[in-house]
Amino acid sequence: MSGPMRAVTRAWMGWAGVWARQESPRVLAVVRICVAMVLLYDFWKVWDLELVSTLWGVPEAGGFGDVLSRTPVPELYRWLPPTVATAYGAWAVMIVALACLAAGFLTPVVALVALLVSAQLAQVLPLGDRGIDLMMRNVLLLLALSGAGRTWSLDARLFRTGLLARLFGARALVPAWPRYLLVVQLLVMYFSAGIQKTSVTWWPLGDYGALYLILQDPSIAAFRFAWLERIFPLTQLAAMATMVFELGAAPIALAWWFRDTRLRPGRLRALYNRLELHKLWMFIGVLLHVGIAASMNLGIFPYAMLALYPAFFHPDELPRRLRARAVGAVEEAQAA
Amino acid sequence: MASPGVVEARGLVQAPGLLPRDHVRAALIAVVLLVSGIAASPMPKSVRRAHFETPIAIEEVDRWVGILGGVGVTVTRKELADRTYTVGKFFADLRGTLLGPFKGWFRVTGTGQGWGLFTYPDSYPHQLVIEVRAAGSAPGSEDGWRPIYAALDPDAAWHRDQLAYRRVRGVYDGNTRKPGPSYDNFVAWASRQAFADLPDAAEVRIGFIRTHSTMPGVQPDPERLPKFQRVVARPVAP
Repeated sequence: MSGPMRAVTRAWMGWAGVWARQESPRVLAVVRICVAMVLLYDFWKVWDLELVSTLWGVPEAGGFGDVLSRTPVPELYRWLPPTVATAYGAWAVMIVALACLAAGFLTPVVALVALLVSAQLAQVLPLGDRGIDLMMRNVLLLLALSGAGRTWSLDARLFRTGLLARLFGARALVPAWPRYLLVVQLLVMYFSAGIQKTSVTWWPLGDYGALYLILQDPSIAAFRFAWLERIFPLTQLAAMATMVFELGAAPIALAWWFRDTRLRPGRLRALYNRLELHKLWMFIGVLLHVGIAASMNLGIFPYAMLALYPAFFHPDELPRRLRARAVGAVEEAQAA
Repeated sequence: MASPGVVEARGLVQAPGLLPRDHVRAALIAVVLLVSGIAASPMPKSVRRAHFETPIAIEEVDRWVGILGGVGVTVTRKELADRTYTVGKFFADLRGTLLGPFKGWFRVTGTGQGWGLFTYPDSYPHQLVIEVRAAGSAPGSEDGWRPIYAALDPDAAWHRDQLAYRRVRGVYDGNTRKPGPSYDNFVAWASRQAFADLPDAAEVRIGFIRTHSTMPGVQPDPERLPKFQRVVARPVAP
């Protein structure tokens, strides 16, 4: 085998090896529960606000969407009658699927059901479907393909023998690739949002005025921000931090790679691993979403995004740290 | 399923002996990442000439004309808009061609990678305003209109939770450039609610007030432009 061929083969084996890894399903289970709870809240709110048929019914039933005059008509109204009952039926299926997802009952099946129903509701009223709904569907697809229901779930408790146990039952190890793809999805989302911010107001030449302008929009702002002019430099700082955070998603991706290959040489690798920059980046991300939750009327967006943050951590990371702390505390006590 | 020969090292479970399915998985993930990367790239989904005629686009292009002028590149607003349109159209077509084979998948699953979040902050925001007028006011006159809802106005907070809910907001926000059928349906719904809640209301007026946000230090623009106002009269009882 020639040199380049050997290098390609080695690279491919490394690539395939990364995606073949296994780990505990605990982190995916946490993401599953958090995502399901956030979505349950959102869909429950639609009921509470008496908006089910308004959002997802046909116009004849009082709905907003021009669903029957669109090509193609969404399957929901091609296969089922265009009535209020169909809108409520779809909503009810979504609620049941999300409740089952939170409880971890038939996890892959209900995640898939929630994904497909959500996709239909998006087709019924595209304007009512926001970026976060798209993100949640991407996540539901990953959860459906993952072992997120293999622990902390009814599946793990109920299905102990036979085919159902093989399909849904408890496992100590599950494929790690769905969590890796979740991390990639988050990094792609942030970086893509960053490079698409081509308005000059996101940049120094536009005085970093973007956030100031956004908070003057009565549809977006949670409060009246007429006084914001007095603290304009703070909004500039926040706009700059947003850009650094979003564009920083690309270089920060290296942090996971460098951690994974920490035994290899290289100054940059050593620096990344010493500084643990990804933790600072995640902290800025948390602040960003808390800031959005406090100042903007974007519904579940900040909470749903934060529900995905556990995916950044390896399942053993937190227990290992807690163990290390406990051991340290015991040793200190013994020394004292 | 664990591959044979799985070993644990440094908290990571490695699979040194790869099975055929591991290669298939790796190939599928490579394809998924490639397609998702194209979908997440800044190539626009569509570009139309009309996009460059909105006040936000004109303001944005003007800013760039000024910036480019500052570094010695002389270009007019029209020239810059034309060039941007040509380049944008090329990439929109390229995006459409590359993602064409996956269109069905994206449609059925509702998945995708469109992350243009606040790409262009709206310096011409629209405030939703709903007003009612009691019977007896002269039709067609400006007298007697009373606001019952105006976004962020604590004194006009009728059905605020419903109207500010993100999915409802998406419907009327999406109609601020060119109202479509969903705006008509929204108007019909809101007026029905108003007539049901307010027995003295003879007419309901629904529309937007477009304002212009300027940066601190810039002369404020006091313009408040009413847009897409629809007046609905109470239906006559049969």
